[in-house]
Amino acid sequence: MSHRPPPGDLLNRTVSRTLGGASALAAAALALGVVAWLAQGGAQPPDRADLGRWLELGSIGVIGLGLLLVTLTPVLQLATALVAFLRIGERREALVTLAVLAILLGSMVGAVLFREVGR
Amino acid sequence: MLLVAGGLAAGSMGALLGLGGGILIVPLLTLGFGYPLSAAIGTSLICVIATSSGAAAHYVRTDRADVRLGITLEVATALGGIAGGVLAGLLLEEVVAGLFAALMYYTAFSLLRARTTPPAFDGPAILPGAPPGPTAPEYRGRRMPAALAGSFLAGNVSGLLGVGGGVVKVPVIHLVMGAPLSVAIATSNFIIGVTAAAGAFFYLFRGDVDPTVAGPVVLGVFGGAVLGSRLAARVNAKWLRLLFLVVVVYVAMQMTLRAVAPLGISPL
Repeated sequence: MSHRPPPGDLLNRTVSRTLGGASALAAAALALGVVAWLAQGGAQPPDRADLGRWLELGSIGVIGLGLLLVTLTPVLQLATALVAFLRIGERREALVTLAVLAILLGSMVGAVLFREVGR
Repeated sequence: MLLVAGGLAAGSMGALLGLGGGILIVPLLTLGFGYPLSAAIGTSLICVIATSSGAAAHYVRTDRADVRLGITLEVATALGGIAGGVLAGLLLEEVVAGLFAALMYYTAFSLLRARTTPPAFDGPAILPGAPPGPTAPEYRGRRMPAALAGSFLAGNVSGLLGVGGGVVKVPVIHLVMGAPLSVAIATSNFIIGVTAAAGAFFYLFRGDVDPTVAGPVVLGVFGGAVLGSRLAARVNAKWLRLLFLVVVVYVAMQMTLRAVAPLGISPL
């Protein structure tokens, strides 16, 4: 007889693991980047340099990677919840989650396309 | 180190009160370190995501956050966050400072009105993690249109001012929908990260975020969020609210002065 965890436990367990794991990874990248940046003298990045430019700048690029990981954590959070809802058969909740995920991904695309607005 | 310490304080406070800490981060960076408001807001939004992720991992695992309700409300909040993020690039800094001051006055007012004890329930224990059906908590479907409207406003506030919107969301979930305060705080913590992300992308790709500032602050926030979520059951909320109230009023006054500076109005 296979043990299947109750639906509530599956959702909460997987979402909390994703949140914890992504946070730990982002924090590690930030810590590594900040320490390396300080060890290299703590030079300032160019003014108004965006994410693409940071990635060319060594330790500042590692910090930038950590910040990007932080910003992407909600996307991972929603993707995990979507999969969990589908597994436990809650289709309405899965559709709502998909809608939120689409809005978030749309905002990411919009941010890239309209990044010159307001500069 | 000062940036890390500031992040630690903001993350702890945010996790304890269901906020993202942005209400503390934005003034810390603008008034304390002299950074431009747009840079501070972008950094703050990323900090809000860090607070949310760090605290929500604990709240979701311990079944205190209502994941289903949070995601439902997030549809409206995320749309509001995008609108706020776009708008922020088009407004004058003084206007944004004035709006932030207004938010702080509203926060102070809410804190003064807040209950010191949670409402009593006659029925069976509330199970925030219960799936849809007979065991689902009653508050989950109560006054949903009003809750969605409030959530859209929370998203606007988030994207425009660099806060998580928790200062609006917690009252919406607790007072409008009738959820227990602990559930409202935990659920708010779960969803403010999603809200903030919708606006954060715009600041990040527009070059408004300085990684050498954001990096140390976000590091401190991670630590504070984890600490705050674990202290939530042990801290006397009354004293915490009082301390927060003093900070909020002080910041509101400073932001008001910044907003009216072009008019030549000065405290001296």
